[in-house]
Amino acid sequence: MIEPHNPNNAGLSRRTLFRYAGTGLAAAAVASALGACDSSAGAGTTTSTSSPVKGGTLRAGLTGGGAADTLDAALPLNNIDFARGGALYNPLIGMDNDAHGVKALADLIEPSKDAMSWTIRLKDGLTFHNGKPVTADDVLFTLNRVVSNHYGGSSALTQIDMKNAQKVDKLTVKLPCFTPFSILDQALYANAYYLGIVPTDYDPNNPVGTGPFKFESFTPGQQSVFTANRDYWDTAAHVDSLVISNYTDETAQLNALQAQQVDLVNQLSAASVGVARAAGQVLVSKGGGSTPIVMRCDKPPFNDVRVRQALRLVVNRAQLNSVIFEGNATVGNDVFGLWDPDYDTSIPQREQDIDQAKSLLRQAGQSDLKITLVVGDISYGAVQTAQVFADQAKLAGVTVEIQKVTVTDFFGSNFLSWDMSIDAWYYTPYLAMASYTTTPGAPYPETHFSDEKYNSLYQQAIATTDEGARRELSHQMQLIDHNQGGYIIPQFAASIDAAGKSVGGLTASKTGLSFGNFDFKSLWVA
Amino acid sequence: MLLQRVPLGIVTIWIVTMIVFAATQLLPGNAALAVLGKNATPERLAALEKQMGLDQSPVAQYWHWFSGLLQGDPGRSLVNQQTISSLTGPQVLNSAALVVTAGILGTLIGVAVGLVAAVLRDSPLDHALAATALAILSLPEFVIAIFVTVLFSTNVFHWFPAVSALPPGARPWDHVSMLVLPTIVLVIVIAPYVFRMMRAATVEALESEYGEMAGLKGLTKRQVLLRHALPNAVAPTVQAIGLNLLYLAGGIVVVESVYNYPGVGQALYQAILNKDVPTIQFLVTLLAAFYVIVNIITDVLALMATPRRRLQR
Repeated sequence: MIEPHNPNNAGLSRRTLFRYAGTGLAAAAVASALGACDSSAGAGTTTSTSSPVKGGTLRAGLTGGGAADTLDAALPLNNIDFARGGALYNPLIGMDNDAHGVKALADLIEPSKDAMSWTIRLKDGLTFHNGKPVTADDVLFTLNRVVSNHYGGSSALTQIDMKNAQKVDKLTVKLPCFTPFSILDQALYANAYYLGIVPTDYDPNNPVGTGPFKFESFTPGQQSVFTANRDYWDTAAHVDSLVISNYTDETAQLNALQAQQVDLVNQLSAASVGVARAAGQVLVSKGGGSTPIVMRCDKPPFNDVRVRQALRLVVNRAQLNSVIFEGNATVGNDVFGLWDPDYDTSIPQREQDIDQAKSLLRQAGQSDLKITLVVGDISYGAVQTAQVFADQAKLAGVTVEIQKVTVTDFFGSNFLSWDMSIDAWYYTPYLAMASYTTTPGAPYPETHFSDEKYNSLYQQAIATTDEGARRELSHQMQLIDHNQGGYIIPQFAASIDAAGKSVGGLTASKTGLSFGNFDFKSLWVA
Repeated sequence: MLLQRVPLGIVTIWIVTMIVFAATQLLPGNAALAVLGKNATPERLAALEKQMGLDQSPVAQYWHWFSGLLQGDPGRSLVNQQTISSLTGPQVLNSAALVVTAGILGTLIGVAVGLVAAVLRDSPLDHALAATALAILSLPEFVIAIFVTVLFSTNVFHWFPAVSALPPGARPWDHVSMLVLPTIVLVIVIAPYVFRMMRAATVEALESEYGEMAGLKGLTKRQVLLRHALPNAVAPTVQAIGLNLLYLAGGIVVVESVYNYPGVGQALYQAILNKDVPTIQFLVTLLAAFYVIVNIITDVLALMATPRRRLQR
């Protein structure tokens, strides 16, 4: 192995080696010592944040992103993509901080009497960042792009016959439906993050939208920079620029906030509230999104409604809320669509009832039930819910084995067919959510719930444009969900975010998305 | 020796690329799923898999990547379509800056303190240093990182940035203050190894028969240390330094994460999370090359520092 050779011809002897090494190391040490001084984080002073301040840069350190980050209006995957999308684009209709629909670029969204078509008219005088006016062609282009490529937003448009969609005039389009569909507005605002309007010559690498900020630069997984759109159609941004940086570690987020290297951090765990409060302001958004436990209603043991009801009775919702969200979440009643004006609050709140659960399991012949719960780290609360639920289930003699998978595996080929799993949903109003999950033709039929009466009620609900009648139908569907459904919804998640002391304009949002639906234009830095 | 080691090293790297590729094929899921997440409808998934070339056979995918690499083109990231060289180049540079700075400082400090401890062996200072080194070795990196950050940035002194999120395009030496805390943490992590090895090797040399002989000959303590003990302590210490560098190349991932430092650890973690096979392949090949090169260099240096092993027997 060691080749013998004459040490005198070695070229580099031990002595010369040491001499070179010594010189090099010393030089490097001096260089790094000299370099160790440039601008660093100083502890600033607390300033008043009560009245808006113009100018400056807003720096957000957000989690959830990675190398697959995108600026494409139709392809956002996670929170940080939504944040950037909200800066760059506007939907036709979005959500306000009460999670109610509010028209953005549209000035009219109206179904025909028979709900067989929808008319959508743009506000007049809108322009893209490049100055080009926003027209009906852009609306059709955007929707066609989403539908023909099967992009995420297409789940809002399953009932729309895009092939026969028409431009009525410069600002108006008419969208025919395959079957009566009176809830397109709901479906559109629930999916607003995927439906930003883009121009017909859209290039995702140099993205142009109508949003409050313009594209400046983007490095996936690291940082994106935007400048304020001074010609914004609504109230323009207070700050001049917006920098969104990716963070993968909560400790790093909190450190950056403490050292005033960022102004905003998002999606903190309940355990971090104390540190965040000391460093700045904590913003709790009582969102309507959830991490429901999903049971397959067509597979044993969950095909027995008594088993499903028993497992729902096993849950101590207050405990879950306090353990995972420090009591900031809203307790769920196994019905989705919390902030929908048609959400039925008259259904009695389900409480933990171990005796009843045991009795139901006995009746079902499942007294020593063993089940596997598949969970991935897909959203804050998913894994935690699984752990606490498994503990609580023991009280009723149910053994829950948690099978932890990666996010990619969770959404892999078994997604929508796990026997029991924990999914994550952003806030979606009731009927729109039913159209995604529990009704025939739904794109996410993860519970495999099928009930004739329920389906008939749904068909009637989406066929009527009479809001009162629709509410009544919706309430009947919700009762079926509550009594027979395949979802356990222990809580609607709260999102905990924090801002530096100098940030003003913070508003919580019931959508559960950070900083008032990522409304960066309404924030300022004093 | 080099003539043997270099080709062997290249073969090693090549085998590593094949093993890693095989491993990525065994993992469930693929990059298309990672990009689509919950929006992975069958139609969209099939379209994206075709676009990414994931519908080709594994052998064809490997060959496509490998033939590209031979032509100096590591290809494009599957998940964001950017070229891997433009995407990971700056991150490799960032990590290299951190590893080199921490490696040099950690080595210098370890060697110096090790020498002092060896000379003053069994003194209270020596015992204190040994206990400190042992205590540090038992702490996980993130604990050290939190402690260093609390002390120098967020709570006690506000001297340095708490996170080191270099803006894209910036070079680490443009923001030296951002290198300080991660470097301190890595130095604290590696210096004890070097220290312990240096101290042990020097003590052994000083207490050896030739060390004693040199003293009896009338040489001063200083001369014994510098002329006789030190050169003989170098070989084992070089090996320890080499091991430390290898550790740094893989082990900075925790420190990069805590400081949000855009380095190779973060890049590899993201690539694995996204099943971005060409990026994984490129980064692992690079790390394998680094391991092979550092091993060859430390072996050569250790050999040069050990004259009797160089001589013909």
